[in-house]
Amino acid sequence: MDAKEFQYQYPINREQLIGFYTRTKHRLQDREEVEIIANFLKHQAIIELSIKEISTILNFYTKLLANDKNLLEFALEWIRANEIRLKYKKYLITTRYPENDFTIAIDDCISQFFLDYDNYIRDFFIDIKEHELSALYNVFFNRSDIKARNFSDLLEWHHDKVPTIFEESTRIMTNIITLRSGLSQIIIEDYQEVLSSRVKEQEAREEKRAKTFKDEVKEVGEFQGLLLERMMKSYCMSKDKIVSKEIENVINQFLTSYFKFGVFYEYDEFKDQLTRAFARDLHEGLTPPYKIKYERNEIELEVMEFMNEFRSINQIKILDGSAWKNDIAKYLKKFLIHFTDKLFEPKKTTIKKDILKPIVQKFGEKEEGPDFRAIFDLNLEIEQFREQLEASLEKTDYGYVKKQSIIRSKIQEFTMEKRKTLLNK
Amino acid sequence: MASSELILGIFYSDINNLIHDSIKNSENFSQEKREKVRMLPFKFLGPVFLTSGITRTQNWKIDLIESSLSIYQEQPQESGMLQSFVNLNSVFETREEITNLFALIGTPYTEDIKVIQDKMSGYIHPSIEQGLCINRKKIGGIFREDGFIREELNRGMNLIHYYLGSSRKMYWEEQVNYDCVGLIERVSNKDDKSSYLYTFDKDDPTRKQYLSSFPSYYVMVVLPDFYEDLVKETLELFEITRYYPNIRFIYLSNKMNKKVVYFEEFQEIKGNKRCLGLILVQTNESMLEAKRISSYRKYLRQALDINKPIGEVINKVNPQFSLHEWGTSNEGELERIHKILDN
Repeated sequence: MDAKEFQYQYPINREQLIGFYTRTKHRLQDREEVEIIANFLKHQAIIELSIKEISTILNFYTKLLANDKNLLEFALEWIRANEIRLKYKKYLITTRYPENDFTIAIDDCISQFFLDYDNYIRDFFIDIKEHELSALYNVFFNRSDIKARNFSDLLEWHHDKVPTIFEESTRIMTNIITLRSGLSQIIIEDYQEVLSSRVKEQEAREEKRAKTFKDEVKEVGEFQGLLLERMMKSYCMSKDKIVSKEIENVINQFLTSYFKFGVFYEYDEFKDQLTRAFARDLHEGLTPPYKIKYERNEIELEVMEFMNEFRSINQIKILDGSAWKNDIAKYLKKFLIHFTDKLFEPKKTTIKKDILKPIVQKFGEKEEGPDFRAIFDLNLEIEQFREQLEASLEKTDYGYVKKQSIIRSKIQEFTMEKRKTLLNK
Repeated sequence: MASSELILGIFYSDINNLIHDSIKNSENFSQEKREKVRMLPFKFLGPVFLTSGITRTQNWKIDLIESSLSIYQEQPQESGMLQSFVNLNSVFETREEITNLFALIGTPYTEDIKVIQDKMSGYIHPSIEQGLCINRKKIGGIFREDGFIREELNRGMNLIHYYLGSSRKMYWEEQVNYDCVGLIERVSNKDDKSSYLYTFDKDDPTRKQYLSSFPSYYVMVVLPDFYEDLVKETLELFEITRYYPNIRFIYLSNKMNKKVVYFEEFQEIKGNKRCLGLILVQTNESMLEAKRISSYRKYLRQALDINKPIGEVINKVNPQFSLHEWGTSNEGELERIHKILDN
């Protein structure tokens, strides 16, 4: 890469900077050039050194500049170095080295950014020694180290590390070693900074995730039958028959407020809450005369008995939210239809018997009451069938969800088959 | 990049031709196997024919050999299998000494070889040379060169490994036009193989004008077979026997920065393999209709796909070629090429 290409790759606004310099020069007419340039650099706000420290460095490198270069050009290169540093840091932030290997980071950054820079900057000097260049890289690309020790100490330190080698009168090129000596520590520190900020970011992300998770749990932890309450209110007022679709929507909203798709729930963990909330919201929706007619506890008891009945048919322990919703919805719908049908009629002692009648009749109930023995036997058979299924699936490679899904569908098939058999008897 | 199936080794040959190596996953190599692996750079870089066959211009060197790998039909396809095999060479030359840094790379990806080559010749190799020079000067007699070189090779190998898997970019070098000075047809099956060279007529003055642009016809016709066999041998050494190599590119250059490309396309049907390769050169003043490699590749691909007769292929790649068929299968035929075409 030649000088022009390099300047194109890392541009600085030369005209604007020279304008700033001219203004500084006018302001400090009585001062020496080195001091003016030090002031100019200081006001570019890129250098944390004092004007005195900057002047020392400028004074040192002035002596080494090539004939066609001047101190202002050198100062502009100091500003360009800052541009390069910005690009290099941006690259470092987005890069991940295997096992966070610092050596790869050093070699990668030097070969990507600084090898061309070395070729470019050498042209500014005549007879510059390798340790002087190495120190220059330290000055240009680092802000903390140079403050920690004074410039002459820094030069001394680099002098011991990188000699300038001649064979007869030919100078041996050792630019990579010079670059490594000047930049290795800087790259390590920068990469360490990147790594520690990544760790902090990761911790913040995990904290946020944990908080979100807690909120989610809290959010899904309650049944909210907003539509149920509203529907019951308007039903009590208008006494118009509720269409089936509306009941379905109400129940769907009630169940969706708790059950989430893809989240697994155990029956026992939501049973009581569902019963209480359904009875509460239904009761809240009743107008005063009906509130007196049906007490909340009474409705709760009815819902609970109904849920127990549902449980006797569906004994799966854990299901995903969407599956529970589908299973429970049709039973709650039947309950609600029955409840609304009977609401304006004179009160009977129990709702449950009437509701369950069509269900238990399927199992061959006699006119006097359900055949609980047949239901018990059926449940026992289902439980045995489930155990067999679980045992056979244990040997397969299916995941938990797949296994549960298979068990569920097989049990449904089995239950339907058994019910048919019972009805035919 | 995952190193489940990966060949990565770099070798440094010093001024005394002593080979230092750093090979990925070579902890369990026996001493005998390591010695055999160490011989590979010599085989790749210093074949006898390369020096004996070049009489006019000296210092041609191999920069890159790239082969694609095909899986034997009976073998199942799996993810992460090797797809390409590359040999890269960096030469460092001073008045007194020549050193080589050589890399063997077998990966499941089509690598951005230029990036790796640039790192080798622009960073890893110079850092070894410069480090040696400084340490010899600073520490002198007590400097342990072996340890230093091994450390630098490990460092270089890790850097190359880090770059593996980068997607291949288009470089301006690939847009350069080349003149075609020879077509090589190689035909092989399980039991037999033969190869032929097609070029300018022996009395055509254009042939003579191009002679300084590449090592020699003799060398160029030997290269594809030689390196294809060598890559196969290398794969076997690394206990990879599921594949067979197909030469894709061979890049050569010399001190005057002249570049020669040999590139090849192949077609294999029921164990019968037909390869068509072109010898391409760069010249300041082209006497032919120079084209990009991509155009030449298109001609060869079409020719192989519909099994075009050689006359039609020649007509496409360089109509100035004669239809005379120069056999290259035995030493006698090679000598004939050397005597007649290389002078």
